[in-house]
Amino acid sequence: MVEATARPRRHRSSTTRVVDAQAVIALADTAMIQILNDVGTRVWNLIDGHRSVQEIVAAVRGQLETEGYSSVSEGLDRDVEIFFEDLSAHGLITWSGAGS
Amino acid sequence: MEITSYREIIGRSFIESRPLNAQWELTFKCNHLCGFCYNAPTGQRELTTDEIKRGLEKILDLGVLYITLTGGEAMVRPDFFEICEHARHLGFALRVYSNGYLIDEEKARRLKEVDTFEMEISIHGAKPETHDRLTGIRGSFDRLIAGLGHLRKQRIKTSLKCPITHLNQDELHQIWDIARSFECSMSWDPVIMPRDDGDTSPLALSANKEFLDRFFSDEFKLLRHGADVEKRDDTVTLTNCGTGKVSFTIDPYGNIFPCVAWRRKWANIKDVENLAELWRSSEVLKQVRWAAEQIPKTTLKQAESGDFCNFCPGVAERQTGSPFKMYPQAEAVAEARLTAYNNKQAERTGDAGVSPALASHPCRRHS
Repeated sequence: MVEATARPRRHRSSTTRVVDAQAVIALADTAMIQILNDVGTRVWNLIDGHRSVQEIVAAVRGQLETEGYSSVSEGLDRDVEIFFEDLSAHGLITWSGAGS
Repeated sequence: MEITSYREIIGRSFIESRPLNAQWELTFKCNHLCGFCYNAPTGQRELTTDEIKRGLEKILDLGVLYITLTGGEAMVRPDFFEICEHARHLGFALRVYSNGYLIDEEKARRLKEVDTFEMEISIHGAKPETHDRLTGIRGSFDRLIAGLGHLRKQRIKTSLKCPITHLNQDELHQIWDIARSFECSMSWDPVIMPRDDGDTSPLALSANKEFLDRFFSDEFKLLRHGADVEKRDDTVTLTNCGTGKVSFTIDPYGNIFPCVAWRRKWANIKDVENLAELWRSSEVLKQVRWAAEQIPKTTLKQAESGDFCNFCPGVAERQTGSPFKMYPQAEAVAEARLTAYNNKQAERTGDAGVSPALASHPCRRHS
């Protein structure tokens, strides 16, 4: 369960390059490469250790709606929550704030 | 179209000439004396710490993911960790090639602290006498083994690589066991290269032909990660190799080359203003990319074993004067791979397992 007020932070050993609007993340801690899709990349780009989950969701929703992807933004809260759980499970993020 | 795997990223980088890796030879100084080393120091002044740091900043614009620090032995530089830290500060993933000699507990801890993504360590034998003979340094095997222990303790991903020579060719299974005992992946290089100045004396250490035939047989299948020999498949990348496309190499003097093997200078990191622009416009890079695309259609197509040849235009140019001309080491390995392939095909079809008449095949003409 990811709390809406928790603030994710990228793992310090991660390196990101964006290739064709998709984030390629190299995580030294586990020596793994992860590739994110478009929405995942938008979320990842907003993770700075300061923004909370709900702020990130709101920002991504705003981006999608501005770009005419309103249908994608439906169910976004749950999708992003699952995504954060996945990032956490892979060691790509740590948490501060309310916790998760 | 959405990318779903790192393999696709690499494939796209091949096609679009988008570099993922910058390999930087920080120094030609080394604490080993390997007879098969391809480095050829010229005596010029090597780059200072500040010059390297500024160079790393110039590379940022290219969107490179990895910086690979190598040498010589990169870790002999007193500023090695300062350079690592700067590379990490700039946001590069860090890979280090080393002989492992200097990796004690403290160095391993610092490699972890700078978030080293991967270490690649050279091993030359399963026994001290073999490894030390090839490195020219007594005690180097023991230091290597100790270093591997320290890296494992720090949980740093480590790969071992072994250039196969006629001195270590009979120890490969034992080397494999060492890799497994340290939870390292393992790769083999059956081709010894001439030195960068064209000196071919390292080739005298090459594995012999009888061994190469065995190496690609089932006897060594486990060491080849269970893979049967397959034909080359250039249908995705449409090129012989990634030279000037997915990677580039910088030497200790700042000269930038299309790759580690093809030493055609296309810039110097000290002088270049806009590296990304030069990556697109350099005539040298255009030439090597063109050559890499032609090789499957020319050099490899003309050779009977071409479908099995890992051809390096850089080595070819150094050794024969032409990047398109077959050279003996590539030919020998290709023949061994072809023999293994044909034997496997014959096995599958219930044939007697007769190997092809290699004595007359076109590659032979060059040797």
